[in-house]
Amino acid sequence: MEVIMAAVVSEACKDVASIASSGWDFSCDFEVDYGSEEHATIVHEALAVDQELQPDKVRRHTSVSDGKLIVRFEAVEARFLRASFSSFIDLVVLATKLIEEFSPQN
Amino acid sequence: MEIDQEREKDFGVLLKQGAEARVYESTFVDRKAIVKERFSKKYRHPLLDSKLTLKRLNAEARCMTKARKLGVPTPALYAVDHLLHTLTFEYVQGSSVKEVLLDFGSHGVIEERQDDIAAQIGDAVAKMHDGGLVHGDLTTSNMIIQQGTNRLVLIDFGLSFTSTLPEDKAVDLYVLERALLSMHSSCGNVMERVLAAYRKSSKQWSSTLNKLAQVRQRGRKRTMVG
Amino acid sequence: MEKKLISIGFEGSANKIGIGIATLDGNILANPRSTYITPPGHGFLPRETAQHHLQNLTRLLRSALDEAGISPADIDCICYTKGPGMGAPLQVCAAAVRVLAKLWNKPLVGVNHCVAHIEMGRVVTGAEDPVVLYVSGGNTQVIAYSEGKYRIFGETIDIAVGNCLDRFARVLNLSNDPSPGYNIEQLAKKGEKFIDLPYVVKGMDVSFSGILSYIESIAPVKLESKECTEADLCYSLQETLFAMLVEITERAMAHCDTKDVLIVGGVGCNLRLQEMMKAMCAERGGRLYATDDRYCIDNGAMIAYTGLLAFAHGITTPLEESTFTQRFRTDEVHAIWREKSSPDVNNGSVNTIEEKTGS
Repeated sequence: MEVIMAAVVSEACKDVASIASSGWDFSCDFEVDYGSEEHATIVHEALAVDQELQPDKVRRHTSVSDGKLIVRFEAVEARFLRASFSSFIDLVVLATKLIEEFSPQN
Repeated sequence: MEIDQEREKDFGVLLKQGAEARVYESTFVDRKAIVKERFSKKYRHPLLDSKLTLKRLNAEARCMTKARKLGVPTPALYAVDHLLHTLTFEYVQGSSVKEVLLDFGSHGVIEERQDDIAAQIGDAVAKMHDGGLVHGDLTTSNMIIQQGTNRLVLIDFGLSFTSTLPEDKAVDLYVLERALLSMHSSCGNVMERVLAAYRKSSKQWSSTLNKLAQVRQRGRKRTMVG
Repeated sequence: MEKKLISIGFEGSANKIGIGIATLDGNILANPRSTYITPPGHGFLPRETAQHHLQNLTRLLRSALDEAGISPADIDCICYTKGPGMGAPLQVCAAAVRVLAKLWNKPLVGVNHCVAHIEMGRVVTGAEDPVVLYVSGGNTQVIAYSEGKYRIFGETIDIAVGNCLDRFARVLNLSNDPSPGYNIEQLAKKGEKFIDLPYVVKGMDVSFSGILSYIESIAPVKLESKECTEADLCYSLQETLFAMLVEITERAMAHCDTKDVLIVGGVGCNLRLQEMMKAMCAERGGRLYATDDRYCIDNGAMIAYTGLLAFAHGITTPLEESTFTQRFRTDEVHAIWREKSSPDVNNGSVNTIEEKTGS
């Protein structure tokens, strides 16, 4: 099995001044291409169980499409975005390693 | 457990082997009496052991008398022996609140009696606390319902001390609450009635009960890692 | 031949990550563990500890499976520590087991860390219905089973005994390898002089924070004036703290009319504590049950075994409920497996538990 961590992590941090602030001024999008609907779904479902600890400051939305895990973070301040993003990435890496190493024989 | 024959001769019939003391039935000037002998604990460092034994012997003698003066029923103290580490006091006939509540637990609660017991507990503790006395070991084993009068008698003042701090009083109540919860959960909410009586009898109930809420929180909110 | 139930358990609530594989009769097939050790004078923080767990999880999983000689297909359920503990480290194991549960198509069982210590202690020592002293870096509780739950009879009203020892070890700048408590224990053996410290027992509860601040304040002065040595301080601190623990345990025994004691949790490996407790039990005609560092200290097998007890009684945790929680009281768990005297489980030889206690 081959898993490719998406080489492109598109980060779109909006300028605070640009839009009339809705509060959720900092956002970040990324995708991980597992090349497998099943594996992407496993990661999606496993990590969706834990809610963001400060839902008034950071929100996370994940979905699966075409064998890819699609993630979007939105936050009211950059530091919250950074903290949530990095701990989520750590777990995505862990989940991916587990799938790579411990999948039943394909 | 071997019972030291010599001792039995000295103090009378062994009634109970507690954690830190042996309790004997004896006589004092022709009256039926209790002799409570504090013995040394081998697991403790000798210095710590003798410090605690003497401290508790004295605390018990002082606080038992002080509680009585405050209008809390306790056995009358007859004698203190610092060398043998004994206290001699009035013999109170009756059963412990623990026995009574366990009996309620297995044979059904007699509401009226339970309410009366709870009210007496609340009242007694309130009187002690208002007088600046903290019992330190309020468990249902340390309360006797006197036969005949149904009066509540408090015993075992070995961990008692004087304090006017709401914190100390609140912890005293918290210990009782936990004892009731762990041992008598089938008797319904006895503690609620104890606290109702406490409110009625204590002038300082408000600060103590506010503190009690905080002490409870501390217990539940501790993160408990590892 | 009938196959025995096998479970795998993940523990990561504090600075250790452990993965254990166990059967229902308490056989431990594998139990590897890794400890996050901080420099002297420092405690462990959630983020760094979680990083340690992330780095070691897959390696430990591989070695657990290899050591047990099983493949994922042989496993009946996947157990993990639901709490109590530190959030970020707990999350690492919780996330990992969810992935594995989906990947291997196995049920999940969330386990209370404290209850797991008790059950591991019971099965390893054969103690049937003891009063339990649970002492670790985050917990100090005197527990006894009654009416379906492990009830807390006494506990610390502030910090845990292990926390008190760890923090004093930091004052003396002792090494955290293998653990600060172990190094205090070794130093205490050289102590001779007993320094009087506060002794705080309230009913069946204890308080340690006053003792800690007292010894923290006198330590520099007394060491400077050469009135005592570091060893004397460790010795006196242990003697005082452990005397308090033995005392409340004995009170609970008197209260519950129980003769035997089981010590579990990391501080439970301390031989001086075991010795003092043994002396107390002997006076009461009871027995002390204690385990060594393989089981006392947090490990995966205790989670695997306890989760399997629940699983054998029909309990599983649905994926969407497989959360973790920093606060999770011992008395919140319904210990369903203790309700029947002879559980009607046919997969594991539950009888061996009783055989051991027969002696």
